[in-house]
Amino acid sequence: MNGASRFLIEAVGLSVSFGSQNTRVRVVDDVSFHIRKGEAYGLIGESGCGKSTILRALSGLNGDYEGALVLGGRELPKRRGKDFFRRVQMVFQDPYGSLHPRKIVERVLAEPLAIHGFDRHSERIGEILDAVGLGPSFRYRYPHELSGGQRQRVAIARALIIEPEILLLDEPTSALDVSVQAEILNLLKRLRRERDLTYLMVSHDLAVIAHMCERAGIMYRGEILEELDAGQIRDSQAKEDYTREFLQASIEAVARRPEVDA
Amino acid sequence: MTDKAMTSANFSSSGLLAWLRAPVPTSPFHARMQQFWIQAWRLRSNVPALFGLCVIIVILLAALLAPLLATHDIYEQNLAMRLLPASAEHWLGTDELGRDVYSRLIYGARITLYIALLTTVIVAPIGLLVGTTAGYLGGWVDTVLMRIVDVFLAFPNLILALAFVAALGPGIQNAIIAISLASWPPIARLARAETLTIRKSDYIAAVRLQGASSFRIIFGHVVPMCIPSVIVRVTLNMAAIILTAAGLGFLGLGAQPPSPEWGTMLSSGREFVMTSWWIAAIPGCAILLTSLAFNLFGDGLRDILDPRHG
Amino acid sequence: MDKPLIDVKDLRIRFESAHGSHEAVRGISFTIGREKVGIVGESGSGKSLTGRSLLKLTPKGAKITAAHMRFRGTDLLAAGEKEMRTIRGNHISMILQDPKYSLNPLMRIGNQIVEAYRLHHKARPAEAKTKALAMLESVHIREPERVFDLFPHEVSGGMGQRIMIAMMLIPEPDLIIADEPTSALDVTVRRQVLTILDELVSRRGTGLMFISHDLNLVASFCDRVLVMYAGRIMEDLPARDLHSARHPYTQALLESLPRLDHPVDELKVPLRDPSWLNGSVYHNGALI
Repeated sequence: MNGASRFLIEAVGLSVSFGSQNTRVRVVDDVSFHIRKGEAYGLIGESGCGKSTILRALSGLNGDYEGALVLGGRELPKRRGKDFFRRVQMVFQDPYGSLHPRKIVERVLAEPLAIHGFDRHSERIGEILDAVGLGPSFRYRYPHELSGGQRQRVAIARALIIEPEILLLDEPTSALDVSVQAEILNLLKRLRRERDLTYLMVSHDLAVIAHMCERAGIMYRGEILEELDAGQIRDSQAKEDYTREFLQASIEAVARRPEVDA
Repeated sequence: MTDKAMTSANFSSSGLLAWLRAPVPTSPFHARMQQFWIQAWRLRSNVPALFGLCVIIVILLAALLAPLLATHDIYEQNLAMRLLPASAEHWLGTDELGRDVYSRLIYGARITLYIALLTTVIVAPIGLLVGTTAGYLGGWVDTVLMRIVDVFLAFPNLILALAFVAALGPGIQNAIIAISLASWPPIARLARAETLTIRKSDYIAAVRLQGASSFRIIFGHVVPMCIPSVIVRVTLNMAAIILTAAGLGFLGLGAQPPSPEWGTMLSSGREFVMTSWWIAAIPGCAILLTSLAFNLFGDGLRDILDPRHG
Repeated sequence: MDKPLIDVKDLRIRFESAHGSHEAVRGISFTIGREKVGIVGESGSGKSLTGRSLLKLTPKGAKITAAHMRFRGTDLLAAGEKEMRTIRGNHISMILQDPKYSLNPLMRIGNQIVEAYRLHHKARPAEAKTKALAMLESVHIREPERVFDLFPHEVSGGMGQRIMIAMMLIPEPDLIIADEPTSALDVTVRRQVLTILDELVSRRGTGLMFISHDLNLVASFCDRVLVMYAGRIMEDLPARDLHSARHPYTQALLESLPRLDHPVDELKVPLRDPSWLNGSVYHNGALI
């Protein structure tokens, strides 16, 4: 359609500062990156590096930024409209906080449908619950009755029920148990393939990023130090000292490989 | 209870119990009832709250069934029988005009509950509306609304009510309006404080990201989270409302004689407190018991309605 | 081998609720000596409850029963609240996950450490302050004087956790129970904190009960690993033997992690075999 840009998402000179006049801190400093359609791009770094802030600016939650965010070749306004939200959705880190405590799953999923004027609510809800691996028995449950993994599945269902193109993932598995993480990561990978989605994933876990994304930007103190692809991450090929340190610390935390039984 | 009676009781209630304990709810109504059941079950262990609830139910029943429970006409004066202590004929004695104290007490419950409940029904929605809107929208809306609240909060409750009643004239309806005007600001403040915390949560961010309007967010998402604290607050407030109404009645500015409002009864019984103490003491005890009951029950509600318990 | 610090046999923890009764911990037995024991499990496996039950800090509705539950000869089950209070903090310390919630936000850090010190030792304020500064140094905090005057929210998570460790070690306890002490910290900071913990624990011969959901972390840090699932211990083995774990659950946990050196298209999800709920368990590689 709009062949002006090869990239679906682009950030050009993005900067975000917090604080009042005298104490303004640059949390994101002149960041630029691009993501192609269907690609999964990771932003990785420690807490405070600015990765979540970038995500929030891109998602429309924070309109106070400088620089340009471009979607499909068109620059996004600071205040986003419904059509933007129809194309871009977000999955939050904390499954215990991202679902309204007083709404059953059915209501949580029906809301975006109602806001965007979709039809066949009941059918769509049933379909999406199946797609994320939860059965119909979860329709009338409250969030506190669900485990962390189940809640995150509902959050993913909520994000996908209005059929967006892009999913912003804010450390979607860091609050989950290791075994549940595997399920959710598998689910996200499968959904991306099935629905041809584009992912921007933020994490502090290198192994997760390397598993999920084709490319990743390593962030430190508000800047993207360097961009690596999954192969380079696995082979610890990094130019910057910090990246090397980071890779090293992440690899050290891995136990010895289990012997493969026949 | 005989064995047979127990088995039949178990039998008939097992259907309902099974429905409430079912592992998978089958409809939104079913889900809500299950949650209600879990909360009610948690109340079981709180003895003071249960006591409060029982007293409230007794008073409620007394008010509803007043025509059946009263033994005499409450307005009929019988000066020959005035100032009599408790007897078989008049269970709690008679007052200075020969009216039966017991019957007046029962009918007085109606008025007390009427004032308390009507005030609550007016105050809670207004407080919620103002508080959540101010808290969520922030900016000048917040400033303006909160300054209005501050103006009301600057006056002590009873003084404010007195002022309004003095302006509007005495009577139950005006007393209710006056008390409402004095009671809504704390609810607004409470709702606003809750909203300030709630609006930072991820689930609000998520619904913003769906493109929801502020209206939908405030009424569909913020208000439901504020309701538990507001419920607890208004229950605890009931005691204060009853006391304020009694105070107004005592001063002759609330319900007017010959209305059997407890405060008014207390006031007219003042002169005879040395000789016929029951005319003042009985309604006084009723006021005390009712306030205490609401306080205890409100406390118990606070324990179970904490959102962290779900 | 000298007598273990903790000797637990057939520990059971039961909860009553609106839905009926539920056993969260179903008959586990273990011993902890002056070593680092890791307890690994998912949420709901009962690992945190186990740790808390040793200090009788379980939630109100929990009923603890066991064949025996001993700390150095003291019967913890029979111990009353008064006796527990002499044990808690003194002989058995606990480090929790988030220092934001375990440090008093309204008190300066230095004052909290001083208070903790004076609770257990008779000391004058000046002496306690010196000791507190020494403790801050022992956890490698570079400017102890400056940090002494800060409030908890003014320090990072890693530093807060190190301060917690310092505070918990003041009374020189025999055993430390650490409940997910590094879960809220960044990867590089995690390493630092664990190194410090290791140093302090080895130097003093303190026992450590390390509760976590991170199998990797526990394997690299602890001497022994207990794998819990659904309220039971599935496997109990030395950490270095983890790669040859016998129980299918442990194996599944190991295989479900995304690995930098071993890329897969789909991660292996631990299938929950219902026979695990009451099936056989392994101790040091042997079926029991």
